[in-house]
Amino acid sequence: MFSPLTHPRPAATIEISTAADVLIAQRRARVLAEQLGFARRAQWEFATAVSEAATNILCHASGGAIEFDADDERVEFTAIDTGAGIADLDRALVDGVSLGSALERGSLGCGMGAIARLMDGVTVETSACRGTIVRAYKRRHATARTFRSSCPR
Amino acid sequence: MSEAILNLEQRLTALEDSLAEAAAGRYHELQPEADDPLAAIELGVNLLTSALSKQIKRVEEVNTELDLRVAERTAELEQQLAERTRQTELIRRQQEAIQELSTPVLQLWDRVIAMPIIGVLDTRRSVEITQKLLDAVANDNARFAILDITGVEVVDTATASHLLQMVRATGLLGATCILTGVQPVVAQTLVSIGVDLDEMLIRRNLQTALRTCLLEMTRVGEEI
Repeated sequence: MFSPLTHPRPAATIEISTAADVLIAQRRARVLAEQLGFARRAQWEFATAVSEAATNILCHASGGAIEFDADDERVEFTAIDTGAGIADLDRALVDGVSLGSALERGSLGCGMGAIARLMDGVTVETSACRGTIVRAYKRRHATARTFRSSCPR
Repeated sequence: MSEAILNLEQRLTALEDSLAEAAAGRYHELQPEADDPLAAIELGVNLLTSALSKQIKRVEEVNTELDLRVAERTAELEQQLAERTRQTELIRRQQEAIQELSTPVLQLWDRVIAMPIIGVLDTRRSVEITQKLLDAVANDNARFAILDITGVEVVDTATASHLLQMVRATGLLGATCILTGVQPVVAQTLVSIGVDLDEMLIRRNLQTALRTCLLEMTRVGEEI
């Protein structure tokens, strides 16, 4: 896990329980990135990654929340859910794998992969009993991307 | 008995009456007619019945007040419940209205329909929109259905997947789906994600989509 941000701006938390919450999270993400002076494309990439995470919460878990945090260099979100955890994290990252519940059947199943591609760094902590925490950040000036995961079982 | 008791029968009846009255919560004072042992009992009974009737009256008052308060509170709660029910109903109807208004089916041309999609395309909405789309295709015998996503700010993989399903379902009814209104920044993001929309027919806007429809219908010799 990367270290906590040193000069955090006022953080925001959005509970995710309906589709409307996903919309709110998307918009909040985009506005936050815009306020921080991110390029237009980066704003949308951040908002889309947040949307993926929020949609995952909606489809795979009973409930959860998206938290935002930012400093001068980067913007990050943390998606926390109380779902069943991701059984095989490495597989979940392969596009087209996650079938999810009947609700989401037929999705492209590349939500996690998409987050990894849209953001500069992603960490995933998942466990069967505690749910999943996805934390991802995006730098104002993109550099090489990192991906790390842990799966304590 | 050393002393004679005056009007014994009458006074006993009066005592009995006084006790009966007291039981009903009323105080009926006995007037001792003579200074004899019965007079002491009569005075004692007076004391007891007066105290008892006062107690009974107080209990009755408290009961009445409680009844009143219970009734008031019940009425208040019933009113609140009614208000809550009314609001819930209002919200439900507004949600229905929003749902209905947010996914209109536009008859753009003979056998060409268009559906502007606004906001987020979650599973539930996607199912509803697909149903509406298929109904419209079947009922209007539409050849082309144009899905316009100008009003969808963020397209993630789930949205893309729902769109793909709509396109496939429409295709099964023999109609062709055309996607329009993909914002440049959305297009860039879809490329970043790696979402493949190759199987979709995409046009820049409604105008060019409609032109495609008309050209195609002309080509196959359909009347337009």
